[in-house]
Amino acid sequence: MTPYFFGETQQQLFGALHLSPASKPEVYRTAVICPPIGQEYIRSHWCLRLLARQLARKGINVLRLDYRGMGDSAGNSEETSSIKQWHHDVHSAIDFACEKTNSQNVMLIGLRYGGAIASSVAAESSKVNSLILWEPVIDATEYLQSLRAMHKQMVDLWVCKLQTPNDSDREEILGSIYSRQLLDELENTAVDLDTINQPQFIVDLFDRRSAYSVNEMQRFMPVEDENSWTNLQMLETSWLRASTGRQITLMADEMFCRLSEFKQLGANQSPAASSTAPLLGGDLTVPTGTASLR
Amino acid sequence: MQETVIQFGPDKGLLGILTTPADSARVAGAPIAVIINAGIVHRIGPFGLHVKLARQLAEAGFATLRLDLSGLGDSLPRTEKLGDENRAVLDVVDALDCLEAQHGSDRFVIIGLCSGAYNAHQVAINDDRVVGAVFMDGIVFRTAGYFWRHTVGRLLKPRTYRNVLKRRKLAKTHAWITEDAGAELAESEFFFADDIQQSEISSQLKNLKQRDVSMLFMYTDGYDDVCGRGQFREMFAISPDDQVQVEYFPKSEHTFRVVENRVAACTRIANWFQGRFGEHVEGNKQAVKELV
Repeated sequence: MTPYFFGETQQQLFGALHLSPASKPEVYRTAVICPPIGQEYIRSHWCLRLLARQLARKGINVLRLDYRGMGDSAGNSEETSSIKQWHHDVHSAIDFACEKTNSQNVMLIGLRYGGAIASSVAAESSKVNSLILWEPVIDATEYLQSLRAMHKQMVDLWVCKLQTPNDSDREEILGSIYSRQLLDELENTAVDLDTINQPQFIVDLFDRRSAYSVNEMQRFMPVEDENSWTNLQMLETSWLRASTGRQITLMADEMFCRLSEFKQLGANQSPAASSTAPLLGGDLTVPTGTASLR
Repeated sequence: MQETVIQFGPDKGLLGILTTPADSARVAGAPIAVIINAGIVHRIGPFGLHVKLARQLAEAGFATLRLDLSGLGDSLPRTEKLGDENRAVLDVVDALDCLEAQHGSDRFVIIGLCSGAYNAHQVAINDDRVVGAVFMDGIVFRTAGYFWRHTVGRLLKPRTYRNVLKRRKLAKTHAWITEDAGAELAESEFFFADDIQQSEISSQLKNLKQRDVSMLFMYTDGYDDVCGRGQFREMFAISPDDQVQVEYFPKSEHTFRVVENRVAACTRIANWFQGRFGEHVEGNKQAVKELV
């Protein structure tokens, strides 16, 4: 893994590039991981690092990035005034990853709100050839409500009476302060996966299956798990899902193989416009022994 | 202010982010701060505490390295065969060697929270280059005073009963809420070696004091084994003074979850750093002369 600071000097972003020793120069297999935001970013850091290493072993180059105001990237969460700034960061990461790996396209892998960001970027970038969405945030309103409910509970059970910033300019939610402008924008944003042209692999809980239409461009893998994202007691517990990570790695490898076959067929049109057999499509059965993902 | 990646240790497998102040703000000859991981949280610290602290110190003119110990964050595990050595100590010493070689500084301040404080203690007692240390919720021992303040003090607080009742009510609808509030709180035995002797730690701290190491001990209410600033003297038989400062945060949780608590902690450390290693401090002037 090689760590980098990249992007504009005053707004440098941190990225960890996992170059695959198995990657052949003529086969461009590159992925950019979009992490969650806030405390979920910290909880999933180790898991995403592990996923990046697993992908690299499968011949896929991977860039993990920290959005502005988070992790090692410049700024703080309060300074981000629009989700477009996070989209911009992912675009920068895609350009950086392509430059470093000599690729023209990338796969985006998004976890939680990173899934929403990855979906939006995929809809506007021709450089994204496929998507993997892991427990993505589809309904941002519901997402914010659950974060606020946890925050309220945390403050309510505090050792003393406590009030955290919550006014017309900013709001503190689970250890991060966000600008009101950003939260308003976030609250009014919905992700419609059916409008995205690139093939998508969606990993989510069994009981969230109905949230997806699963068309011919999508494949869904249900996972049996408790929703620890809304559990206050697990607020600081590392979110480790190694088995799911292995499944995702296998699927990423398969998606790249299919994209490669598609390219070799000489098709100039986008995968979505093709009348050839769909790249994905349908539900994926969870193999025996991986149902428990803790 | 500038942030750069530093790679050091065996095969350069360890990683840290060095935050350096702008040239105009830099305090010449000041020691470099080194922040160690808290638990298994990567180098940004719980709720980004380490990033905030490093940037605040940079604004005050001091450089800081936030590192990942081997096997944590983005650092690789150490693969060499080792005996009983504390790997964390080896990692930090590697970091100090790298900073000394690359930046010419041979004076360091080690900072850590919880397990980070434990490791900071181990480094401080073993490496003479350490001239300062900040221990946040580090090694503590329950004293008679603790039982009085903690147990009786809590029993007298109406909020204790309110929170117990609230938790019981919530436990009926949320399986994850434990009725026992104490179960959520950090306990030192979970993170530290179990053979630590109070007298030994006390003696080691006195040695650090004799070595002229500046120390700041910070404790939070969320740390279950400590209650009140007065416990420090009861534990170690050392009276706080300018060189050994003690701070207690009665409204803070162990990992400084709330921004207001985090700001208070970082400001306390930055002020302490300024007071102990600012330009006006004699030891610092001497260090600058030696560098020149």
